[in-house]
Amino acid sequence: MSTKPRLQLNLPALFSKRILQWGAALILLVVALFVPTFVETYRLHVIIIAYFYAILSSSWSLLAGYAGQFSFAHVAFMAIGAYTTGMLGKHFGWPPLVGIVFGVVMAGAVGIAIGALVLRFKPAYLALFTIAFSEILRLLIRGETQLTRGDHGLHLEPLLGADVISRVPYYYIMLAILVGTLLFMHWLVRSRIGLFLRAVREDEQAAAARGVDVVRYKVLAFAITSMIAGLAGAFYGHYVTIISPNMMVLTQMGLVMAMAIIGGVENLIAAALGGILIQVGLEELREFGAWRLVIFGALLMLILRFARNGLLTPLFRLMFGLGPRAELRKDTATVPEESAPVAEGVTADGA
Amino acid sequence: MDFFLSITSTGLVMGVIYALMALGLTLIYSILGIVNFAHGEFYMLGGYASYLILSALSGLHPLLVVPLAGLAGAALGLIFEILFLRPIHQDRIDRPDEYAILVTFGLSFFLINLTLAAVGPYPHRPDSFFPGTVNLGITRISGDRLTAGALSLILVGALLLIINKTWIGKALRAVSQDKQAAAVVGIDSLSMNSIAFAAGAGLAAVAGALLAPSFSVTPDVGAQPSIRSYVIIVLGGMGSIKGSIFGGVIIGLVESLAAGYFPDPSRGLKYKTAFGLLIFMLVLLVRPRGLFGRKEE
Amino acid sequence: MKHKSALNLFLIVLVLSVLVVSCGPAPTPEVIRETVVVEQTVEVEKEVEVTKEVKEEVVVTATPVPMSEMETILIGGFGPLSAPGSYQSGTQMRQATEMAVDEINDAGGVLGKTVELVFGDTEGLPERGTAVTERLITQNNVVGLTGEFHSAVGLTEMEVAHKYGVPTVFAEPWADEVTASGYMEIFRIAPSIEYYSSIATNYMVEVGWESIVFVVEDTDYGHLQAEGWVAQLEEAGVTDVEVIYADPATEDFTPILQRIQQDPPDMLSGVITGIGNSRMVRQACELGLAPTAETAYYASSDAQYDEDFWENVGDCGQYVFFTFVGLPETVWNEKTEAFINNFEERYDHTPGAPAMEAYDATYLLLQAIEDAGTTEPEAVIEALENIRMTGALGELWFEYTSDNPVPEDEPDWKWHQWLTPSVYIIQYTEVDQTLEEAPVVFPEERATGPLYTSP
Repeated sequence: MSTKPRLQLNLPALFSKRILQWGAALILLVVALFVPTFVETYRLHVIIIAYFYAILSSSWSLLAGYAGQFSFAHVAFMAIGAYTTGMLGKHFGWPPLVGIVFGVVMAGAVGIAIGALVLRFKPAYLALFTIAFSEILRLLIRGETQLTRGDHGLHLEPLLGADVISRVPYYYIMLAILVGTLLFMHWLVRSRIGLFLRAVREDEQAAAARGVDVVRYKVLAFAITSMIAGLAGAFYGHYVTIISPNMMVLTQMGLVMAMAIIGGVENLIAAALGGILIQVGLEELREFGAWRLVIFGALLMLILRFARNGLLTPLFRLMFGLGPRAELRKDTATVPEESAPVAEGVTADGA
Repeated sequence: MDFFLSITSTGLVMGVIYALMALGLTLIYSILGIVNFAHGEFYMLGGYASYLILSALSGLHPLLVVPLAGLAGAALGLIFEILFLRPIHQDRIDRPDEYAILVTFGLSFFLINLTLAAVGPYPHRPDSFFPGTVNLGITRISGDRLTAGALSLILVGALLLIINKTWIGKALRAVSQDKQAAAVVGIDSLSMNSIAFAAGAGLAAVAGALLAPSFSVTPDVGAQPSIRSYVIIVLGGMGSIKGSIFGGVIIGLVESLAAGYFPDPSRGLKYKTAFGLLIFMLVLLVRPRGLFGRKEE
Repeated sequence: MKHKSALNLFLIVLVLSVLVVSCGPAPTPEVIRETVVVEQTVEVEKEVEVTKEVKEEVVVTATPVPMSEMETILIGGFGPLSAPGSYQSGTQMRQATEMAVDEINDAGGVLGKTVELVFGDTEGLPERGTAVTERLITQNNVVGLTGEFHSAVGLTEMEVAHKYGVPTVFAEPWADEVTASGYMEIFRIAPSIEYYSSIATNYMVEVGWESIVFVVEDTDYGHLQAEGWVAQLEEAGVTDVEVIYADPATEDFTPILQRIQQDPPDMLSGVITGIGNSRMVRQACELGLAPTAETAYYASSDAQYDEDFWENVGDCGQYVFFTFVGLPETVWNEKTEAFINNFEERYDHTPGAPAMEAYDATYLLLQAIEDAGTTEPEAVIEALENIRMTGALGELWFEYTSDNPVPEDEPDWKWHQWLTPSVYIIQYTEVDQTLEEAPVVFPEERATGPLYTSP
């Protein structure tokens, strides 16, 4: 596949495109700000939850799509954020804001640990390891009912206190978190850090040969994305005010992954959008009961097979005529063994 | 001492059955190079297949249904492999490792919900192979479980024989070692892939059919066996047949001993799976190639 | 560059989806209303926007559709229809609720109008309970709510129902706090855990078992249940009681049963809902542990689903006993019989207690609306407080209401609670015995067979 840029860098054209793009962005943001005025409380709740999933799916896409780490522990980090603040509130009476900060820190710390542990793992091992970690954590949270209230559910204080019964402020906070994290991650991928992450993902050996500190960037990816997940989880906890270990079952992880994939795992915005559209879609299709998940599963498989860059990335390209494609493309400079079944002699300990 | 023996015997019997299912996963990994994240769902389908076939053809002896269930699993596996996995080996997929993980995960999601929507949530149970229990002195074991264990043992033995002594076995081994070299000798790796995946799925289905009379089936009954299988193949060494067998038996024993001896019986029982997972994580960190990580077969 | 344009596209599609999403039924503006409104029944459509909040009781209600314009009466049902909830029970509850609605419509509806049911799947998750309830109230504008199986979910649902002032008749959540809350809108016909447990512990004491082991599911229900039993047994002087918690998805209980078998208790219990119930019974029996002459076996109330039970348990089910909420055949009234027959015919499955409760809860709600002559919440609540109805479960009424508050020395959960749910111990004495054939063994007044039949 060639990587020739499709867009010829014609300065005047570029300039007007940029104006167009930023203009459109601004209009949309304004519309988003006015959403609560024409959407009633139930649908507003759906959108808030959709934003929550968007935060998760976009941050996961950063970890998986950009940094190449297909981790199954993402919702576990989200749960760490939620349960940290929940337990601090329950056992020590700490206020929600403090709890959230600690939730983020805790999720980040564990993220760093996991990131460090899985440094040398090939994708299948990374997946299995993070699944195991996530499951153990879930079983622990569920089992140690003295600490976490297990399946009873852990109650958290609403972030804005018991007097604020309207959803609207929560909507804005979730929107702010979503936009904030997207902007942050957007900045990150366009920075040197993002460049190095992609280099590491494309060809770890080559990147290392060129002096990129592979270890540092892989762990950094975990740290950042786990903190974002933790933030989402902690705020979510103080919004819905009750959490249970079910928030981190593997099916939830599958859902987040599916959202990112269907949206487009190599594009933050597409992944976020995937999250929003799918969550809203699933909610609207509730009447179909169990079959809606069947359709969803089939859709996921088909998209993986036939539209592996997601549904939205091609759309973006179509609408805005993009430059060099950075999606899931064949490794150009990799050792051939990458795509062949692994001979038994070469096992988990490295490329 | 009696107690130890009874716990151990339980663990051994279950271990052999676990090994059978793990063998399927290993076969798939060894030939196709991917971890099948829908393995537990083939197990589940095997159980449902035996239940549904017996409901429709009640005259059939339950034992006869086991191979039928296995065939059903294999058929489904074959179709899936050809449609969704073959492109990997035709170099039509970018980032094949991740794709394989995600698409088999998607299959798992799809199958669980399909079963839930189509058959319903209630637990079901096909008829016993041999009703009643057998007194082994140290403990009693149900006829069903004994049958399942015995058949698993036989199947594992048969599998070893096939892998080592038959042409097909040799062809499979060749492909797992070096695809190109195998092609030179005229072995079509794509066909071998399909055979391996179908066989792996079939083995999981057989395990499911063997255990269905003992444990009953629900749409999500495959979740724990799935995770357990991953633990076993990593412990035994991915792609190692011998490893899967040993790994299966070890895990069977660990689970039994944990539940039987852990000081706090609640935690022992609650965290039965977690112990296995812990071992799993430790193996991945300390000795990733597991017990028998270098394939010998 | 790609990212900037992507950012824009994201925002465009965000707007589009928001527009799509809000393109549903007309949004209902929120109205702040004081709870004490006098001219209710007449000027129902008047929205009085109060700019200052009333401190004590601020009721945020969706604008009710005036009665005369309603062609149907919409009620909401909720319960678990998918994992991780107990979807076996939830499905039955939904079916029973639908059946009740159909029967009532066939008999002419309520207040001359057709009743329509919207049933929400709460999946056994507290967060979903909140979302579903809110959707039913604000989207579908239901005038009443009924159902739910899980306690933890019921607790979140009741908060939403209370916030909007929608009358709710809970069918199955057992947590004491549901009615102990004292909320006006909330009613319950299921027994509270304390009451339910006491029947079982009284039975155990009566038979004379002295050493007991409970293997209990590691959930909110399991913990509440086990703690209740332990406390009640201790009060009765039975102290050799052990509780072991288990993951309800456990396939193989054999090792833990072998462990228990080292020192077999007088009574073994497997309090695991769903498929775990059958597995425990089978495995305990296969080991020769229970039910035997030495050790009795107390199954979770899932054993009442006798088809599933016998299919999954085989001969092992003989001599097993369990607690049953509902009416044994000897005390059946016409409604019970009709309900069971119709349910079996329609759904090809024997209804369990949750189904019966859901059925009666629906009837109560709709009867109350009929009695009140309006769908206005306050009137319906009042009608519920005064209702007296024969349901499939027996004579239904709520003892403690606003006219007759709970006395100091009585537990709080008796508020808006049906106080005489029939809770019995039933024992299967023959293989493949149906629920109707199996004898009631306790309490004595209702017994149709010997206290305990030992293998």
